[in-house]
Amino acid sequence: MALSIAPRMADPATRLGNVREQLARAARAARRKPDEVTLVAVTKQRSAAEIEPLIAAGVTDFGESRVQEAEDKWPALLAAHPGLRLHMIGRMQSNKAAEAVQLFDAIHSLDRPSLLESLVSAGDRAGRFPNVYVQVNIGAEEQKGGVAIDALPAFVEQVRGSPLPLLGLMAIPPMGLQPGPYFALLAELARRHGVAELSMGMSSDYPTAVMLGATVVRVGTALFED
Amino acid sequence: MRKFDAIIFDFDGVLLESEFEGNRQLAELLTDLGHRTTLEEALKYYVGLSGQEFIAAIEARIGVSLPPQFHERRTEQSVRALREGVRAVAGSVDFVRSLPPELPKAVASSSSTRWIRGHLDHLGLADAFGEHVYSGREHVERGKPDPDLYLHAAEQLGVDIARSVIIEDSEVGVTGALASGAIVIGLAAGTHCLDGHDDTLRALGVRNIASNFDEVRGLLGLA
Repeated sequence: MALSIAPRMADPATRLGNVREQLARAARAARRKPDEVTLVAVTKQRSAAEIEPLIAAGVTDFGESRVQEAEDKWPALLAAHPGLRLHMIGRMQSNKAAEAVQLFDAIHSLDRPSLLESLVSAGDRAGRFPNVYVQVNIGAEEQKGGVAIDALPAFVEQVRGSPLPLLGLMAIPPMGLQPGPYFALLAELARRHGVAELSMGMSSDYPTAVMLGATVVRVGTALFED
Repeated sequence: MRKFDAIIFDFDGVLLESEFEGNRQLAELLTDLGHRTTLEEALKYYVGLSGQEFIAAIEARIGVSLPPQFHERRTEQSVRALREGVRAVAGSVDFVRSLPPELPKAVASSSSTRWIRGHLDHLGLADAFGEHVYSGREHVERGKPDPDLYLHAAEQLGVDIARSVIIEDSEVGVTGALASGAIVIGLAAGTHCLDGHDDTLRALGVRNIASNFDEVRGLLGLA
């Protein structure tokens, strides 16, 4: 009988355990409590069958980056598992606001007045206002979403004047550069604007983000691939 | 590596073998109190922790509250270490002494300036850094891993942080150092650095790794 030497794929619960351990380690190293950090499992392009094991393992927060895809996938999952929270983390079109306010508990990518207006009117109609994070274009990249740093004070004020509860700031550092300075800058902007939550850090850099103050990390790849 | 105008040193574990000595004593103390702990376990589970998190981590592992003797003896150990001195990380003293006197240099550490200055004295480096000894507890509101202490040190030295080299050994330290925008050397020279420490630092984004001060010289082009 031949012995299999193929490496065994880790199961989702093992990968989740690893991510949680890294997260807790980073939090403790920065003298923070691990439970101050929410793990949002990013499930874009993942099927319900891939998501179910994470729900079974206790994940309560999930992130999607397209409204249409989330609408196809999540209503059934949410109905089957009450108490889950769904986060919109991708760039959002204003014409998806009606669907978004119905489906999402939090929107991390609020980055312009026109989207704010659409979300407010959609929220008025639906009687439901999701929590929001203002996305900051932290690396001043043309191709990326997010409000420019110098436009942030005015936009934060505008959001504060709306019925959408403002939780904090979100950013994605530029690819290929050291993320630390961008995380530290976002943390400084959050302090300056008096907002508590920091949505920053993904599979490749969430320990750094947690040490620099992230309260929400958005992890996909590390939960689904070895 | 980019050109640099200054060097900022972490202290414990970079210039001083205090991480190793402290954990050796911690392992002994816990074992004395009936909780068998090896040096490797102390290094693996408790390095980099302080205050409540440090106590909580130990209590979680041993499963009981630490007795008052623990705290008393820790204080004694620290007082004795400061009185008698702790050995230097191999090569660190020669390295600092070999640097050009006009090169701006600083110490940026989470320890108190009393601890740093006391040990610099023991190491024979009392004058090496002049006024530029900075403590995360005393000089800034937010210590490591926030970058503020390094930014403060660079400002006081009158140099651009992007043209400053920071030599760090811990995960918390390199995270803050990278976040400051400086050129970072991850040093795995102290006896406290277990196998794989260089990989841990690389995973946090450190590109320049040295396992001793000769390699630091090489990276800096001072060889």
